Amino acid sequence: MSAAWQFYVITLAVYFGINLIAGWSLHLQYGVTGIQNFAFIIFQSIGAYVAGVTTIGSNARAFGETIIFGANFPWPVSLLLAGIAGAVLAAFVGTFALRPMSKDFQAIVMIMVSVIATSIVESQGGLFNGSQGIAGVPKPFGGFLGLGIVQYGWFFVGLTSVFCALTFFVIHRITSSPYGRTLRAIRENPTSAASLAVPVRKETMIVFIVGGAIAAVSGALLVEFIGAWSPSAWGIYETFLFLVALTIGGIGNSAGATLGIAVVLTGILDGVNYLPTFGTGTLSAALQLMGVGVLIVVCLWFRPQGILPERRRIIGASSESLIASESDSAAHRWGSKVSPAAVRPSTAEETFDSEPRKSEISPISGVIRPRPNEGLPIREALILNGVTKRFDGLQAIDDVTLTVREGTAVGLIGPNGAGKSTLINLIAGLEHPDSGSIVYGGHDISRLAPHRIASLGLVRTFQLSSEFQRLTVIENLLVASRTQRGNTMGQALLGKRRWRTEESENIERARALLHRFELSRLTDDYAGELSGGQKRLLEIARALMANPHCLVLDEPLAGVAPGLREEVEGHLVALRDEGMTLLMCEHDLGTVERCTDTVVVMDLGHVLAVGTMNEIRQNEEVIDAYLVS
Amino acid sequence: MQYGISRIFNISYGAMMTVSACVCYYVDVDLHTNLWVGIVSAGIAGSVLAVASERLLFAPFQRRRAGLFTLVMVALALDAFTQNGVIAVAGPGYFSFGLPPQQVYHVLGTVWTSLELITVAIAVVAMLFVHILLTQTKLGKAMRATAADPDLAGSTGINVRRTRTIAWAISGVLCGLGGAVLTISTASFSFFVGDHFVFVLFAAAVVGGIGLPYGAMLGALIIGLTTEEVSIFIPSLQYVVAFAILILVLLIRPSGILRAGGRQRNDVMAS
Repeated sequence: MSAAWQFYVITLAVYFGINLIAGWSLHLQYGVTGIQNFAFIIFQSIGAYVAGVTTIGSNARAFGETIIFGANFPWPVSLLLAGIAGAVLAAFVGTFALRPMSKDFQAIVMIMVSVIATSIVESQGGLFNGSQGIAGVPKPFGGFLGLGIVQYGWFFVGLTSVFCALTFFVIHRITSSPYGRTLRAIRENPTSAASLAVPVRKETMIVFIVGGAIAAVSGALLVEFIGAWSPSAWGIYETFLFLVALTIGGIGNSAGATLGIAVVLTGILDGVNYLPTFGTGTLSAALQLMGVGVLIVVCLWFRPQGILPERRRIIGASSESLIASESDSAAHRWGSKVSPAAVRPSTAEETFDSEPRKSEISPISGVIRPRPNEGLPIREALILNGVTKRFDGLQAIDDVTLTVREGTAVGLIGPNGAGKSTLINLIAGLEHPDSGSIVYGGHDISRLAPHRIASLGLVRTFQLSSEFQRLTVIENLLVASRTQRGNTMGQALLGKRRWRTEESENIERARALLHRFELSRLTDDYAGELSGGQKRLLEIARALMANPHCLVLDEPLAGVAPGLREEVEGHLVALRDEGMTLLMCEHDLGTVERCTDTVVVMDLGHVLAVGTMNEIRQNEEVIDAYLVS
Repeated sequence: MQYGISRIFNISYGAMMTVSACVCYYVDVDLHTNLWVGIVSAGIAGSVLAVASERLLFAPFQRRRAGLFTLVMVALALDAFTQNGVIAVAGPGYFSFGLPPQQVYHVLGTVWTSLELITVAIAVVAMLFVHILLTQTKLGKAMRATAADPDLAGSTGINVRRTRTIAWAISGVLCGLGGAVLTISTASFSFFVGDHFVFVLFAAAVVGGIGLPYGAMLGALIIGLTTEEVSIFIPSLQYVVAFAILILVLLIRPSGILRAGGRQRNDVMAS
């Protein structure tokens, strides 16, 4: 092999390795956690720049460059500094770009950050040497090893592979751990994740910073290989190309990310650009990019999930519950596509009669935590005092005062626009009251973030289906076991041995819950494929998995097929009978009567009446409100 | 405007400006016609491009209810395709309109060249046109309804597809005119002329409020004026200031920027 061809192979190998490191970090950010990081490339760029200026030494003056400082640190220090710079930049960008906002908006902000950052660098000649960038960055161990250019190239290939292996190790440990599952839950539905006590902003920020640091290290390696840095080489299009690679390979799949980078970045772009006899003509570069443009549109249209879609993580139902469900109905064998109403054998008689039901499903050990205050005098779990909330011109909640006692079930009813859902959002911390206080279990929760409230034991469900669609049913439940080991970045990196035992305990608990809610045969189905009623059951089961003391249900029967309503209702009655504190907002008055002890009637933002359903029926004000509206 | 009405954030706007500028250049310089003919043909080119990309690319993806990530990717792909298409056809480089020396006017103590006056005139006419279109005509009402809620607009008998296409056509004309005027006023251009203007457009949309045409105008004015003012005194800080404004807005009024979206959410909650 001639030197030119050897060098071609070396260049490709190094570029492939560096692109893999960068691509995997973007895979962690976008594919796993769902951060639409269209500013990704600036993190690689800053790493390259920092590595450049901390090793360039006197070369800078020789080339007549103006840069921040030209240090001459030994090799690993520059890489470390690059990583730190990437992390710091990510922390800075993250403070405003990761704020809760709709996903499309995040993409736009990221693009702006990227474009503006490039413009700033190009316009700041005094700091970054303007659009010329820097050149003459020395190669690590260059003089020290005394190798020829080709041998040195192979040495660099080895160096890159080491970092590649390291990055893969980190990404693999994260994605295969409970922490990775939490990140995927954030990707699917941040609001639901927060309602299960996941500190969404903190975890997103951590991923953003770690990803930024990895990207910066990849940039440092790159600049040390090519010896030069220029801001225009790290534009928004480079990010686009990385995202194209991930999308074509398969979003959310490490193997897909690898494949995409191999095909798009190495195969189509670098493989052609660095051919010894070819060179980079303007025309061929333009044609390549046009080709990539067409390719990604075709891919998004015909195979949006990519070549290797995210694989489903199979955990399996417990053998016991599978046997039980087999006797349920032969129709189960037809899979989840069969209408649940037709499949479910449960009848009205069975669910309406709460007595036998209670004995049938009475405490499966470990499913519901034994109540700590069993036998103690009844206390208040949740106290709202003079809570008020305005939206622009609308008085949504007007001086609401109500109490939910420990171990009781309270129903919240009222015509549309009465403020029921707003009240639930206020309790769960999605909105904060303008005045008044909300006290739960002795803590003032009126200013707390949703995940803090959830971690105190007050867990809510949503009116609209809020399952983590691309997580399996059992994974949906496991997300709720927040406190388990392996659910932080650090513990995830320490490896499976740290969290294996606790994980299998949680899996057993989740299986028991699925069995209770008759979802066992759907254990490994994607939650997004369930029917409306099954999703409601899943959501209740998921909330229970979080070990709540108080469950707040926002219209648990919304969107449930008539045949399945009674089944969901039966589960709610059973929960109440087991002593779970419940606050439930629901339109169907019959359901409210059967599931709750006390009823609170709301209209136009304030409480009209409180009492049992029978008392409420006699209340003329209530009748007026319902008839008028 | 494109974003407001069809919920597509068209990053390829910059590339469209470039193409229109090229058309203007070609018609004006290579075909030796009047400059006005060039500007008008740039407008036509912009509108044809916009309608073609909406009809052939964005609308099909939207009918599939594609996520916004997908739409942003498609827009980036279109941008890469268009821009590199121009380079592949015409080759890279700079072009220059050989304009005659311009007459200088004094207006209220400031100095304007005739070209600058034309630019301002075109901008004012365009803003007035958009304003009247949106507030005074049935089409404008249909556009605003489509922007607020496409499904509901469709169910009240508005032809959402046609409304969107018209909106794209109009914004394409404006985009083409913008490209032409921009390149003429700077007298020469390279094929990357659109790139730097994209971020001004973003900023305009974000600062002014996404989906609100007036917000976009206001945002463009704020961002444009502040950055220009700054660039007079400290040229190198122009982009730093733009960045600072963006961050400030995001930190102080994250919900304010999303006014259109925020209101929708409140409605859902109140129900």
